[in-house]
Amino acid sequence: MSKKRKLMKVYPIEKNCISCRYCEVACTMVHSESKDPVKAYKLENLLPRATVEVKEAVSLSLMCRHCKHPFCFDACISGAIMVDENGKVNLDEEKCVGCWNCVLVCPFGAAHPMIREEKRHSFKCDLCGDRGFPACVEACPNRALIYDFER
Amino acid sequence: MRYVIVGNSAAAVGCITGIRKVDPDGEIVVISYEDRCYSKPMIADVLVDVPEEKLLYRDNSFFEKNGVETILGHKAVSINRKNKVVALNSNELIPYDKLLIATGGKPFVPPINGSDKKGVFTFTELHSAISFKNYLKENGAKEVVVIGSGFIGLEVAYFLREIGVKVRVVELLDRVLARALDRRGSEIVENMLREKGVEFIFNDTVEEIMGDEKVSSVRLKSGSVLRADAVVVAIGVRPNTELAQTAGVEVNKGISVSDTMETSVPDIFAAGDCIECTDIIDGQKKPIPLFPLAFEQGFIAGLNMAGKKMEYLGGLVLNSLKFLPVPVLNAGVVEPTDDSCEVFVNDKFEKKGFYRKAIVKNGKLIGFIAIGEIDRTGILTNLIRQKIDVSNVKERLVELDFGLVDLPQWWREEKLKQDKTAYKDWRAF
Amino acid sequence: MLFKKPQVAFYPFMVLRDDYKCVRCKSCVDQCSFDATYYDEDLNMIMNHHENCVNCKRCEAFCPTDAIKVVRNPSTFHPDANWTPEAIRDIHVQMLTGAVILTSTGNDKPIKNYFDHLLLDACQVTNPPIDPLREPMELKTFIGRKTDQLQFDSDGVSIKTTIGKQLELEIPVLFSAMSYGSINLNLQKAMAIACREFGTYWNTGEGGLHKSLREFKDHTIVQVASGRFGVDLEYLETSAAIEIKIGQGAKPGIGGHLPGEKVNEGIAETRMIPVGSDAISPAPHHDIYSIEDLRQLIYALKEATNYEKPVFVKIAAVHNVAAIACGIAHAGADAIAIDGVRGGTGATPKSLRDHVGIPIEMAIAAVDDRLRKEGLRNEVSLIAAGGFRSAVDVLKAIALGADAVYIGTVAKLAAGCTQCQQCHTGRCAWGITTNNPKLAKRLNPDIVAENLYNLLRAWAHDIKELLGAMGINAIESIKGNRLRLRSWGLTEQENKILGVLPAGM
Repeated sequence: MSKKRKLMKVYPIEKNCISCRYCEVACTMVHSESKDPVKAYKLENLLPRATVEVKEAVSLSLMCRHCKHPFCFDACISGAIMVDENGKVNLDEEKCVGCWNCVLVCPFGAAHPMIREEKRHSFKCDLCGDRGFPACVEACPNRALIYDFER
Repeated sequence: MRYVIVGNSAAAVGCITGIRKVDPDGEIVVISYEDRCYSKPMIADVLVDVPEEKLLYRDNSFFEKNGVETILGHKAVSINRKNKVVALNSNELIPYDKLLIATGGKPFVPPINGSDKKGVFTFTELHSAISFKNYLKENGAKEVVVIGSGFIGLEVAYFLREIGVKVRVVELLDRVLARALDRRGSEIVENMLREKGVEFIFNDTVEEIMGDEKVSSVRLKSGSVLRADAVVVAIGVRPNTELAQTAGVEVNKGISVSDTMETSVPDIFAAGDCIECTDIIDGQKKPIPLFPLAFEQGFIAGLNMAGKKMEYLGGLVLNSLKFLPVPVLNAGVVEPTDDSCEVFVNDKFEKKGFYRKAIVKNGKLIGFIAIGEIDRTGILTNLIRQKIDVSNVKERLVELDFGLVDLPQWWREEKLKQDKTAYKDWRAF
Repeated sequence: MLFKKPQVAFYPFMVLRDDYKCVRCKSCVDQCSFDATYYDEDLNMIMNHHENCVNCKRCEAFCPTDAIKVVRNPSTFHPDANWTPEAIRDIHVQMLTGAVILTSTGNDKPIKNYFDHLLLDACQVTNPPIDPLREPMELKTFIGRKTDQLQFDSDGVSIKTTIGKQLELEIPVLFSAMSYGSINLNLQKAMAIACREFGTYWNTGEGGLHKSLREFKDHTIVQVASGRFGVDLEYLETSAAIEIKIGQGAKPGIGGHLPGEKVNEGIAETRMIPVGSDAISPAPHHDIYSIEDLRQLIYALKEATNYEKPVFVKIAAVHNVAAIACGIAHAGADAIAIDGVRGGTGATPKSLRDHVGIPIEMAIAAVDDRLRKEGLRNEVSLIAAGGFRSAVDVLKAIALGADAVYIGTVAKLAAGCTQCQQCHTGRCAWGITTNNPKLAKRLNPDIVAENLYNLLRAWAHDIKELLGAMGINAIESIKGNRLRLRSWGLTEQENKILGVLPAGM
């Protein structure tokens, strides 16, 4: 358990975050079918997996931490959340039944509910597995997100 | 090392996961009288014809990949603590080095006259859900009475409406989900169910289930008689401790376990709905029969069974009402426990479709309700779990944009920068 | 407008938003520091208070779907060459406030830019140009007092003469004084990093040197101004050179004023004043009323620092700049910095910014001429400042007679500035001229340091190309070499002052 996992994750750097939401929009865009930010929001009804939080001078972008002990995995009743051999926490949106337990237990608020007439499931950061490099990190204009090995 | 697990649901799967984190090779045997590893919280879905494979929690590949031998369809009837064997109803004896009792809960059925009639169902297992569904079909049931307005009762009622069956819910108390939600929350849920066509009868209870062989009606304490082609008893579950008792394990309200999930008998562990766990809010031992806790307890038991000492963080009430179009979540307590509690409410349900409530005691969050807008409420759950001081942000707890920026900077540093997200890192401060 | 003076409705800019492309990410709402953009929850729309828009273009730049354009308000006053919209608005502001109009950055009036009327020479046939990519090209510049003559050892080769400390520049460009307070530490840090990496100098301005920047000592010019903010022995010693600020091109004849609300803990500590107190630099140095007084301060600073630091004197280019520069040279300064009428600032009355001082091109020519005539040119270096836009401007200034050039606005532009002229409000949306922590963090010193480095590198390439074309392989050879300049479109008088021949001659 204590052995170091080979996992790269996205790390927010608070002092550099300028709350511009590029991470959010880039995330929504790359997870869309159209790969178009406007269509992603307006036609595909998608939402970002990263959340920009702002309180006065403090701001940061927050996404799934792929916890060493993921409470969402404990709580998932459908088996949609699985942890791979590197420790990456995957959420299978097809399998998800929308019980919202992950939303209820994620200490970071990084598992989000998608509650729409046509789709009910949770969603969260997948580290842009299909893409190879996290879009949020690439989009960040102020180096407030870095992609780095787990600490 | 030979690990034996009795039960095949959340705690059992958690236990297998925990064992395999530490011991990749030990033998693991799972014993269950049921034939598959399905998701208990999802059984009501069979009413709306969700395919059964969708209910599968872990398929065979999980057991194969983890090298788990499964003995399904056989009930474990007793444990011989001296010889360290579990006896099955087939008289087979299964030896163990470490045993996990994960026998779950059993539905509580109060003594009601006629509750042995055909057409009376409980709702904690897949087979009872399936037989209920079949019974409805075979008998062309038009009207059902549900006793109890807890999560299971309401879910069954909701799904019955989906398939066009008239439903009356009989509740002893004066509102739905009285133990899980506050009055406002109950009202919101009740209204949604009423819109769906569910009828409620409060402050009353079923005194007699009537009918010849099969149920035909129920008589309430108030005297009224309701037509009922079937009755669902959904008053609650109690820890199933029968098997544990055969081993002489200490049992109070549920199986008594230590912080490492070990029972009073060495090498016998227990986890899930069958135990009583420490409620982190009041420190009391009590059964909290919830899926996420069962998994976590099983996981911790698994680690300890395999030799890695890990103490359970303790449990807390975590509810999610998943069947309604509007999500309803709550954690911890939902009403002030004493005068020292502060209550914060953000009720915009009519205007904007959400309701938030938080209870703070001694500067710590001890519970909340979130209806409608539920995103990021896990942050609140963790505030309860880690007992983080929220005095400075208490008014913000019920705001929709409450977030990690409201938490102390050191917490973010520890979690986001130093990646302190292992199990032990989530202890209360 | 409701609850507002009617004149507020004549705002100059508007935010246009393509609502279809707007995905309600609210980036613009968060980025706007002038309360010109807000989100209406009930309408689920982003809305604008156009009257607050300053055309800083932050929202435009950070709209991820390119849904925003900030444009001039098409509704304008009756066309009138005399009563321009600016003239009318200024009257409206003053009749409502009774105050001088504060502004910032540099002169925005169409004052003739002589750089645009000067042309450089190139070699053809009779003398070969040099390819800077194939042959060495020297931009190294030394700032400081040069000796009158060289004395050699008996071997006839080794130099006996010793000269005072010189600043060694890899490019004849330095970052001009911008104080901590007028800008934030992030930009100062970015300039300091870029200077260390490239080999040039930045100037603290009059606000002292924050302790976090002391590591850049060898690339720092510390300024001593009339307010003496942050000046102590340690400050003077933590430097490569010391600059006495007499005046500034954007506001000749007046001092600075940093309002108390901007004086946060860091600024207070660095300026050595209480938190929240106004930092007022008097118009004059109260101990300087003559060249002799100036000499006393120059030598006091030299004495205090063991004669190890060159001392500069910075003045605004005013009408008698040549005579003053001469006096400064006599007073013992190692370099004179002259800031022209286009010089920028963090805050100044608009009337001073736009109407006081003379163009730097004239000042360079006049000062260089006068110093030569007085036989003082080798005793002081001449640094020109005020509105330099490009490597070409730099090279023309050097050909006119400057040793090096101070750039300030360019550094701000490289940090994202869009010249919206709101520095004095402290609300800079680009995080440059503000110390509001939410805004200041928008300027990442590492990124801007890279930008500045790139810029210096690009300018160095440009200068080398131009020198090569002229067949010159060292910047020294173009210094004051006005023969390589020609003018066009200037009067005889202008040509005479600039000391250049018109094109064709």
